[in-house]
Amino acid sequence: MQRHGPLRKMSINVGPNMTPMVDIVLCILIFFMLGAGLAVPELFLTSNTAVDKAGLGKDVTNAQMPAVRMNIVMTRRNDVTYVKAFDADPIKMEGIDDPDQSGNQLIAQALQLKKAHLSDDVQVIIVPEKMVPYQDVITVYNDCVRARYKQVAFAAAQG
Amino acid sequence: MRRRGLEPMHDEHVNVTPLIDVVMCLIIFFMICGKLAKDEANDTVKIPTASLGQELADQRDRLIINVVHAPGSEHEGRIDASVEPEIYVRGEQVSQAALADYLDREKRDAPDIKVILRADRGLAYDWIAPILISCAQANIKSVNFSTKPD
Repeated sequence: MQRHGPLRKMSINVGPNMTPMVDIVLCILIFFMLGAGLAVPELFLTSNTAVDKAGLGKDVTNAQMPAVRMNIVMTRRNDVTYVKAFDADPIKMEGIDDPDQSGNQLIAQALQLKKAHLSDDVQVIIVPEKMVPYQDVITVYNDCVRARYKQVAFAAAQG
Repeated sequence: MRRRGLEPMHDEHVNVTPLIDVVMCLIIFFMICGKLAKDEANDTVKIPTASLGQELADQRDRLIINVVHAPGSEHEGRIDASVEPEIYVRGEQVSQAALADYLDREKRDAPDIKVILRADRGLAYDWIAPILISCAQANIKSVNFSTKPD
């Protein structure tokens, strides 16, 4: 049946067909949004006392130095890092990809045990040798944070 | 006088022009953010892993220092520790010697500056310590080691 009235008028779209463009643009948008969401987030270990070295820094301060200062010495022999936490014997570190992490766990336990006998007014200084990989330094620093040491500093490279 | 012939057109399609405007703006936003993020955070850096890393609460006045092993210094996944790495700040290469002055200027411009150190996990500490010393010389109190979760 033929329709009468205003609806009878036929619509004629003379403009370009935007449908494919909208499809592509939406696909690009979804790609960017998913890409942003899938990115692995970076997290940070914060240090307020970056380097322990006499004479550095420009602030003149009357702040009292920590009563106790203790060293964690990191040495490198035959591509293996050894950690001497305070007065304990050196402990061999494992690489992060090594399935056996017993050495690293021992280091973490040694740091936690020592902290149990100390107040917060203690400064721990990580003293790595030149050839110690950055990953190992960060692992030890992570263990110090886990053991709740408040003041952890890094010494200049030794050896 | 009333015109005869072509009758006025009525477009029965949905008007997609505002949709395209908004979507285009979003795409441009994501592209610019991606470009800025790529300039700041060098994606060739293999950052170390740590289980206790935290997000930075205050993102203002941050300065990202990327320390990348020099091209050709990596063999079979191991980095030659004797080769000096390259340091990039805001997409520009900065020498080790010039870094202290650079940080000093930044500290004057932004007293509460926070340094984010993104260094290759395989680099020897010998190359990291001078950067930390430069931060200390510039009196930068907040140094943040970039890590990824285990």
